Amino acid sequence: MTDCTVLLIEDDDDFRAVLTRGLKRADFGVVTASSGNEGLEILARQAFTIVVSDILMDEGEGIETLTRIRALYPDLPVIGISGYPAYLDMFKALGAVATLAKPFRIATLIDLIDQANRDRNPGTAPGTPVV
Amino acid sequence: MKLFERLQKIASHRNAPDAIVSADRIRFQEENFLFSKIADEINQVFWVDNLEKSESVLLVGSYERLYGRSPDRQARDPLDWLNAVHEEDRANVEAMLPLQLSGGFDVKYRVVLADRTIKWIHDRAFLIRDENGAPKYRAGVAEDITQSVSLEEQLRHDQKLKAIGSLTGGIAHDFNNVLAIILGNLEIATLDPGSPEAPELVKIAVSAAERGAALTHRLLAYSRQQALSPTPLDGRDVINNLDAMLKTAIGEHIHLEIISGGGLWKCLADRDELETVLLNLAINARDAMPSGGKLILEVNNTRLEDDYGAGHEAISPGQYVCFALTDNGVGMPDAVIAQAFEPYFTTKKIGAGSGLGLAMAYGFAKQSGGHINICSEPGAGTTVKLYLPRSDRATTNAVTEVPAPQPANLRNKRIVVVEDDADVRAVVVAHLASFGCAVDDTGSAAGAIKLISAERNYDLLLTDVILGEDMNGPELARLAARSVPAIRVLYMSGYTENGFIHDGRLDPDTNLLQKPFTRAHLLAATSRALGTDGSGADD
Repeated sequence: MTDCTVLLIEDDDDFRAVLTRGLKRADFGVVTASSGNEGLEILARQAFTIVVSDILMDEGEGIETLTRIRALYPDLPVIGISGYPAYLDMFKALGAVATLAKPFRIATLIDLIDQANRDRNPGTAPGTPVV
Repeated sequence: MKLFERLQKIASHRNAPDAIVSADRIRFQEENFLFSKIADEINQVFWVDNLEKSESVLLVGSYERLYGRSPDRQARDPLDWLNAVHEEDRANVEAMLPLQLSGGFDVKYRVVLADRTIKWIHDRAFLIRDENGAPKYRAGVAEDITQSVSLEEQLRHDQKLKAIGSLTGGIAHDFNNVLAIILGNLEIATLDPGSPEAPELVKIAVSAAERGAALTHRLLAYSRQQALSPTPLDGRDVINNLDAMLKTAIGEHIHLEIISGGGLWKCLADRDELETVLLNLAINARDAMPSGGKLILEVNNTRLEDDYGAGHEAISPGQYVCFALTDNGVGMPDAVIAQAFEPYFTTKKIGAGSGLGLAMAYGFAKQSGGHINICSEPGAGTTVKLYLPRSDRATTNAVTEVPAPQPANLRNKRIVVVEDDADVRAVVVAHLASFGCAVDDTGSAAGAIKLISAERNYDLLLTDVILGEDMNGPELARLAARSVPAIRVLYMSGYTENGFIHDGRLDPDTNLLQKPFTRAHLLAATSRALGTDGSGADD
């Protein structure tokens, strides 16, 4: 496993499960949360390389979660994912490094995570651990 | 004070109405002058007709501007203004005129000016009676309401666009989530198809696809395009059978009480859909009582009178069976109630069709010839009442236990499959072949006719309803029956706006397989159509 750890915040159980499976296959460390509040609690205890967060969720909307992450951990990149394309631009404007409209290929998400890591640590090869 | 009220006041303050044209004439002329100026300024016409003489005695304000006709002509003929009324509104206006003899009237109509400009007029009138109480004058105010009508139309248009926006956004969100699960699981499964986890991943993808199918089902229910099979039902039996499922759905923190009155009428409805709607309503009630509470499900006989729907949409008066669900939860303000039946108008999280429960219930009620309404008060709770029409037919409540269909019973049955989508056709043929059926397939009605004419020994025609050619499924079925009188027919369709469905109800004895369907659905529907499922269809 690489040292790249992903906090995945997604309220749909089935989608959270398949994303976790796909990201683990790509050798990422994955910790999951089913709500924004749970994600923030985990972030308070553990450091991550990147956050992948759904935008519309039941408890602690993704927008609010993103705003709080940006305030508390300004250097932590966040990728927004949503089935509601209209929210993607807003997520980007609020500081997400990238957004992905559902449905998407997990390979695309992995590319985006790698890209975010490279942007954060210029000179590193794709998939290189950054922490 | 508006001119209309002003005029009414003048009339009511005089004991002798004739005073208008005698003792107080000077004062009235002064008021008339003022009215004329004011009315002209605010786009109103103030008019008085003498009923006995059939003449116009007063016409002040902007008559020519509003009606595009000469005041002189109106003075000569009190009904001259009718010539300006839009032809589509004229019958309605003329029907109102006799009312003036017994009382006032209040009507809105369009007038067409010489340059074809259309104006909306709000015309209100009342009677001025003589000392014996006989109608002597009719007086009124006609007001140009074009601008406010235009604003109302714009508002309605905006609200409609907003509702469509919510609907499409909600559908997109839900389907994108479902597709994300399917795509993700299949993507991983194809990376290593031989891995032990691959079958599980495919299973999850199938389950997500079924979530998508359930979503389209709800959307069709909302738009009243689902295929319903209404039968006479005993409401008490329906809710008693649902009891266990309802208790599971609402949880132990909510006490469920079921009340049913004696002598309950039968109602006419689709049992499966009714159960789904009641379950959805119970889940809504549960969500309104997060800390627990009480849910009462009551069924009783109700008569809706002629005036029940006054001011609202058309509701047929008559006898109904009413299912009422009452909770003591958080309740809803009027603004929420007003939009509660709109799809994707939800105070809950968007996702997995959560904004479709009440919309679906509304569509079901309307398609069933019934009605649904909500009474609620913030902090006090909510009652949702679902009215379903009384049935005068004998009940068919008993749910006959039919043994699960077996593929073996379909062995060697000869089936011709007609489906223009090659991928769908390939799946159907593969399933039927695995049941042991002898299958021929074609993508067109013409191909089907060739096959049927040549073979003449098919047991079943399994055809799409819409074939994308000159002929549809039912027409093909009629032709097939000429060649093979004993042939059975099973239709498949993703859409139910079809020739054999009237008001959303299937013609009796029509076998329909709703797309998307699973292997089990195909097996059950084929067995039922061929009468090999023990349901007696073959008798």
